[in-house]
Parts: sequence; C-alpha cells; structure tokens
Amino acid sequence: MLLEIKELSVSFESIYGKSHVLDHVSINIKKGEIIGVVGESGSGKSVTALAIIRLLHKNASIDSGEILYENENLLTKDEKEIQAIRGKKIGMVFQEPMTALNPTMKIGKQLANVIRKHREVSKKEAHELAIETLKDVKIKDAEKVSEKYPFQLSGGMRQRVVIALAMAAPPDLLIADEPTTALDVTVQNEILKLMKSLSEKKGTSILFITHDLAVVGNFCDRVYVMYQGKIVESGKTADVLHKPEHPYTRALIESLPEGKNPDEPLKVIDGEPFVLNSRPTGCVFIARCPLKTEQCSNVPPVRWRGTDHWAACWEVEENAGNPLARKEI
Amino acid sequence: MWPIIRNRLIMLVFVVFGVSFITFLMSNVIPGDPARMIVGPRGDQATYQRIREQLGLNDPLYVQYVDYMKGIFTGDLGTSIRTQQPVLDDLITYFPATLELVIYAFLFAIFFGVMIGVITAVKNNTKWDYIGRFFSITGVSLPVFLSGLIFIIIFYGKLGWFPGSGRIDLFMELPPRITGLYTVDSLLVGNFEAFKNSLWHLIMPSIILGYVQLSTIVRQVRSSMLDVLNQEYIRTAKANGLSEWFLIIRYALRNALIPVITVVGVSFGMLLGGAVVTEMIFNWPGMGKYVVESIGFLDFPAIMGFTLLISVGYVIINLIVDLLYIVLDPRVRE
Repeated sequence: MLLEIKELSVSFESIYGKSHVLDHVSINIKKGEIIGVVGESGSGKSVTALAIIRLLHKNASIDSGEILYENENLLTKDEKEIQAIRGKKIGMVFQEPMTALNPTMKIGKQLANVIRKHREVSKKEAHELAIETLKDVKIKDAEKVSEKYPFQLSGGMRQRVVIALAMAAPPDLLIADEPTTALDVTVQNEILKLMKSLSEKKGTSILFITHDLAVVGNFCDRVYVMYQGKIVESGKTADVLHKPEHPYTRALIESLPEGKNPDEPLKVIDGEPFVLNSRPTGCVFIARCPLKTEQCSNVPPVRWRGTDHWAACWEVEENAGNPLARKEI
Repeated sequence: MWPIIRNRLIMLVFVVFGVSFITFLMSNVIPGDPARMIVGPRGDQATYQRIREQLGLNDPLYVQYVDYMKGIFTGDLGTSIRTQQPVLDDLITYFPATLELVIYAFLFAIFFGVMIGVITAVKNNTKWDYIGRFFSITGVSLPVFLSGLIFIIIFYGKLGWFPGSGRIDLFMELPPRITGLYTVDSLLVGNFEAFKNSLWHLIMPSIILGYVQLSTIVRQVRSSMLDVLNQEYIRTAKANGLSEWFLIIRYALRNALIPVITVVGVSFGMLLGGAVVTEMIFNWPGMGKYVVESIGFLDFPAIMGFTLLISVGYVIINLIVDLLYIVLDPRVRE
C-alpha cells in the first residue's frame, strides 16, 4: 500500500466554535492506482488532500487518525521532514491554474527552483531539466514557454505547467484537487489524458479529487464517495457508478444530465447540507435521505456488497464481501 | 519605458509653471515687505524706495512674474535677500547636505522597514509581530523634535557615542567638493578619516528622520506580505517542496514589494521636505535650515527656489517609482 489514510478526523476552530469537517475518513491508494474522491463542495475533499501534505490552515486541527505513507505516519513528522516529502514523494495540483503560479517569475525559473530542490544538479542542468519537464507535459516550444511569465499563457497551458511542477521530482503520488474544474471541457480532456499517460509512464499513483462523476467514470480505478466529511460509499468505479448502493450516490447519479430527456427538469437532491457545527450524531445524510428510518439516527454500519464495494447505510443489505473488515467507519 | 519618461518630462514643465505661479502669488499676498526687512524699521524712506526699485517690487505683478519665469528657464532663481547670493548657488551649497541626510535616513527606513515588515507578516500574531509593530508605531507617534532631543540627551549628552550636531568635526579636513555628499566625496579621494567622521555624524539624524517613514513602510510591507503569503502560488510552491524562507525571499517578497513602491516613493519625498525639523535639531547645514531662516527674513526668492526644487524632486521620484514598477512587474512591461 502506498498511502493509507486511517480514520482521519479533522476539525476547524472558528468564532462559531469547533466544526468537524472530516469524520473518520479512511482511504487507501496502491502503487500505480488512480483513485477518485467524489463529493459536493464543502464535503471535505480538499481538506483531505491538504491534510496529506500537511498544508491545512492554521486553525485546523487533526483530532484522530493516521496518514501512512509507505508505512510511515506523515502526521508525526516535523516540518523539515514533511518538506522533504512534499513535491519529492507527493506532488499536488490545485484547482485554480490562473493563480497557482508566481506572477513575476519566468516559468522555466519556477520549474528549475523546484528541480534543484529535489535533485543535486547545477543551475544550467536544472534549466535543461525544466525544459524536459515541460516537454513531458506536452508543451510545444518548451524553450520559448520557459522564458515566459504565467500571465502570457492560457489557462490550459498554466495547468500543464502546474502539473509539470508537481511531477518534477517525479513523485510516487500525485494529488490532483479538481485540476480541471476551472478549464474548458476540451482542455479538461487533454489534461486528464496527460495525467493518465504521466501516471502510466512514471508509475505515479493519483488521488483525483472532483465533484464531477462523469470525469471519474473513465479516469479512476476506484472511487470514494464523500458527503459532509464522511466516506459513504467506496468501490471499483464501474460498481459504484452502475450499481450505486448508498442513497446519496444514487441521488448524485440521478442528478447527472447525461442520457436524460432534455425537456425534463433535472433531478436535484432535496434539502441542503447541514451546517458544520450542527453535525448529526447518526447518518450524515439523514436530513435529505428518502429512505430514512428510525435507526438512521445511529451511526450506520459498513455493508459490503462485494470484495471491494461497500456503503455505509442501514438500508443496504450485506451481500458478499469481507466480514473481517466489517466495522464502523 | 521611453514614453513614460517623455510624459513625465512634459509633466515637469507644467509642475514648474504651476508651483512657481502659486508660490509667486502667495509671496505677494502674504503681508510683509522684504524691502522693509532689509532697511530695518529705522531705515530712511529714500533707501527704502531705492531697494524696492532694485528688487523690482514697484513693477506690476505680471511683469515681476514674467521676469521671474524668464529667470527660471535660464537657470536664474533670483538673488536671496538674506544671503545676497544667487538662490541657485545657495541651493547648490545646501542641497547636498540635505540629500545626504535624506538618503541615509531613507536607506535606514527601507532596510529596517522591509525587514521588520517581512518578519511581522511571517510571524503574524506572535510576540515578534507585536514587538515589531510596537517598534514601528512608536515611530509615527513620536514627533521628531522629541525623539531627536531624547537621542541627543542620551547618545550625545550621557553616553557620548555620537556627535550631537553638524555634518563633520570642525577640525576635520573637508573632502573636496565633487558631489557635495561628504561620505561619497571622502571615499572618492580615499580620505577614510573624513568618511568615518561624517558617517558618524549622519547616524543619529538619519535614524531620527528615517524612523517616522520606517513605520509607514513596515505597515505597508506587512499587509502586502500577508496578502501575498495567502496567495495560491505560495501554497503551490510550498506543495512543491520549497522551503519557507526560500519562498518568502524569492517568491513572496518581490510580489509584496510591488504595491509598496508607491508608498516608499512618497515617503522619500516626505523626507526631502520634512528634513527641516531634524536639520534644526541637529544643526545640520542643509536646505531645511536654510529655508527656515529664509522664512524668518521674508526671503521670497529663496523660499520659492526651495519649493520649486522640492516639487521637481517629487516629479523625479514619481518617475523613478514608475520605472521601478516596470522592472519589478513583468505584467506592466507588456
């Protein structure tokens, strides 16, 4: 296992009190795997990502859990140790390519700085490697682009540069936090293809965070569905998308516009997410769930549907699966 | 770059016209008669009239103004009533002293201002932040005449660490006049004794003068730096594994300084005009002292020359600020 997030709970301190944003989240990533984390805004996807590389905002606190990277707990490392892991072992691509690059530094220089951080090379070699890295992310005229400033590039180009920065080492794991959300659909596809080919070429695992189920379908091996800081369902992508078990996953898939009669109004999920500091004690989806019963005010059990596929819901029937792994999450 | 310089130079002509017009008008509206000042209260009427004639005070106002403007563009700012020297010569004599003081005060303010600004931003809401902010707030709160006197009492009077007045010791051999800046001239001719001595004289007044501007710079750098440190590209660079101080110096500082340049430019102008009090306290033979004494004498040509020089200085500083923007921000270059 490359990365194991075990029962991670994170809360934020604010003037309204303590808000629990991650509730015993567990995610596993094997070497070379592409894992999707799907959820709506505010469900805790980005917090999970930032927790891994320890870039959470100062007012966040990790209440429990472990993040094991090659069996070493990242949460107990000091700043220097974690710095040696950032970029070198675990790279990260953020959502907003327009603001993710230093506006007053040339692209090549920004790349060279990162390369020199991870490898023992001279300035000149670093610059040559920077151009190589730009070629890796399929940037034409890499030499010319390396002499440009971020504002001279398009959004798609900038995101390629951001990916190049994250892949400069190259790392074993790339965390991509909605990397295509801010881009045109056509550019989106190119970026996804690029990430997939980089992953295959360099053997890099990807933790892909998105709110777009359609993207997950043809990109990820396995997927975790997240709602309000809790993983509610997980399994192979095909299983989760075609045989969704959790009422939330089903509702999400039903809200997709694809394959629907354009004259019919789109389905939406009734209600809205709870306010963070009034977290329900039982199932997190209770307020919006069409199937809710009395027992839903207790924490739902993990119900296995296959060796890999489970949902945390009282209404899901246990099928096959791994009884040893049966526990509350 | 060239269009900016050209536009500023055109602007300079208008500034000279505007400022000279206003100062000229004011000097004629203010009650007081320079001729009377020269002959004294007991001077006889004939002498008084002759001096009025000499100074051109009997001509109509517009004739006086046209004469004055003609002078400005031929390098003649009139003759000082008090010193009986051409105003231009006086300014050339006194201006370098002020400029030297202002430059050192400015260097002090920038160096410590940027340093404290960065530290207070990086160590936001820690004791270092509070200490730094307290130190800089003191600068704006303490008037120069007070902090100057306190400094003189402690460091000159009690401890005797620094000289209390003047630009250089009386018995010291003066460096030859090349730029008029003692520290520069003495270095140019290799006179290290004079260099050390004049530098020693500069320390107290330039700290006092620069302290006020330091706090402005600290606050600007701090807020700008806080803003930049919260930008996504800093987070990206952190996620790429760059170390904190590398990021602060190489990534954040340059971006944070861009909005600060304007304020720093203005503060240089303020130093130039505001050196008056400091010069009086430290008996600094600069322009400020010159102009204060001229005011007491209703020496209008001198006052007008001083005002004009400061205004031109402001325009030039603004030009430098604009050029610095181009250097620091590639987005402006396009």
